[in-house]
Amino acid sequence: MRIAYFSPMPPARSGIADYSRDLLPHLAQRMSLTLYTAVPEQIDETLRQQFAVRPLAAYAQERWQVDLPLYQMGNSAHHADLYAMMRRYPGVVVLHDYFLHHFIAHSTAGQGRYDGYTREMGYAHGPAGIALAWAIRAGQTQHPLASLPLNQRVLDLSLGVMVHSRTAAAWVREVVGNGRFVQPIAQPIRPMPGQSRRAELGWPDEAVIFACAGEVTPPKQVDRALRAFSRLRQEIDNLYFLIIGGESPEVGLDGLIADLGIGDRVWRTGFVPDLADFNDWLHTADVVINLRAPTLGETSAAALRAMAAACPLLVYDHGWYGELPETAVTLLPPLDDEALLAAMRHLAQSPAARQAMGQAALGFITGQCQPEQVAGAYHAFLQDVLRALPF
Amino acid sequence: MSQPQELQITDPLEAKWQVTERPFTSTRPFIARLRQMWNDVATTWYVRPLLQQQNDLNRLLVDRLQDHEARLIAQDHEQTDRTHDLAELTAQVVQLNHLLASIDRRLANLETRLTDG
Repeated sequence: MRIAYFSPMPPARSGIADYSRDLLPHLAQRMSLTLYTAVPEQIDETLRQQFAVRPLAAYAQERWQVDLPLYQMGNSAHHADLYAMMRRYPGVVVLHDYFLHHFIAHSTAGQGRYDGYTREMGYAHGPAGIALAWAIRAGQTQHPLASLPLNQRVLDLSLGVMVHSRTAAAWVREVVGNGRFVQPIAQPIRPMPGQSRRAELGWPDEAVIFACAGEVTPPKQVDRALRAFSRLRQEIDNLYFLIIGGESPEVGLDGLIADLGIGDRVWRTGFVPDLADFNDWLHTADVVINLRAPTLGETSAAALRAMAAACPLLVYDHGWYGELPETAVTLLPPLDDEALLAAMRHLAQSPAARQAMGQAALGFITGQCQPEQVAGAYHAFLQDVLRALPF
Repeated sequence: MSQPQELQITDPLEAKWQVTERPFTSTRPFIARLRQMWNDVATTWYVRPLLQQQNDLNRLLVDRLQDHEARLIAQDHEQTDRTHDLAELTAQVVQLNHLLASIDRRLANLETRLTDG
């Protein structure tokens, strides 16, 4: 099978570029790949040595040599070139973000091309969408980035859609109906050995360390986790809290931590650019809290990395998070602070429960998220799409 | 969990197409009464027919614009469907080429065997 592969590529600072870098060698075991990118000379040299890399402009002629084009689509400006190609030469799409509104708004209205934004809003939502686009243009309201996905054109064009959760797959099927191939595909992740940094922090060996991992933004609900932690500390003394990752300015954790009086029990790493360091911090934690509300159908790489580090995980029971195995994570009713507190108390008091959940989490990663398994799922899906072509 | 809900918004064209009369006002009663008398005459005989004419035109323009919008949206969907179909046909042609190449090879093999045999 010959596949034309369109994706942001390293060294672009994009999670999807990293995803492609990790997955491509495994895909290459099962199919012939040609990478198409705007400027081939600019992508990572290792990839250039491993794969045929061609400019986007060459694809028009070369598409007759390719079984299917495959697009790695996400909600950022890194996808502008491949989106333009997809509109002209559709194929199979891996939809990493169900919501594409930010990307569409940025690449149209954000570049002064309001007509492009109005067109997309009209395409997805009809006359009401056009009216809303005009209201946004007049400054009467904001782009509804988190309530309107603006993905319908991508879905209508596609010959098949892969997503990362059953939730997103169900949403896609609501748009495209049952006549098109839609498949949830696991995120590839491989367990990495890590070193606990507990000694560096000077925290006792027997301390129970809770952690939040990944960039701290308002939907991550880190403030709720800290409040629950503060309440639990009144019952159990030997608790600490680790915040692994950078913090967006609107979160304002300084004031909260001071108000709660837990400054001596909280350590904030700040942004961790190196994956090995990030992994070490995860190996330092006893329990990882990964709350997200609202969820827009996303998956959490930080949550998967925590599971790969054999950490028990606390998540809200919705979206992709609700699809994780109950043996490996504790599923909480969204925004239920009492349930969060109870789950934290249970895990703080039970090393055996932490151990069992952590091993189940690691088992889930090794059983379902290995890159070879994901590459196999890609191959099977692409074959299904080809077999279904009417002759 | 379900799909995010469709939006509800009133088209600004619908909100603003109709031109309406404005009453004369003044803080001085005599002036206000005088203006009102003139307004009654002017509105009845001159302004209202003009307003009606303008509103008829505005309504027509709004209807035409909405019709154009609806047609553009429909054409955009049709174009997208055609682009999707074209991609499907491109993939089919490639697969048919594979098939043709395979048949060519088998035929060539058979010819070779017949010639040799």
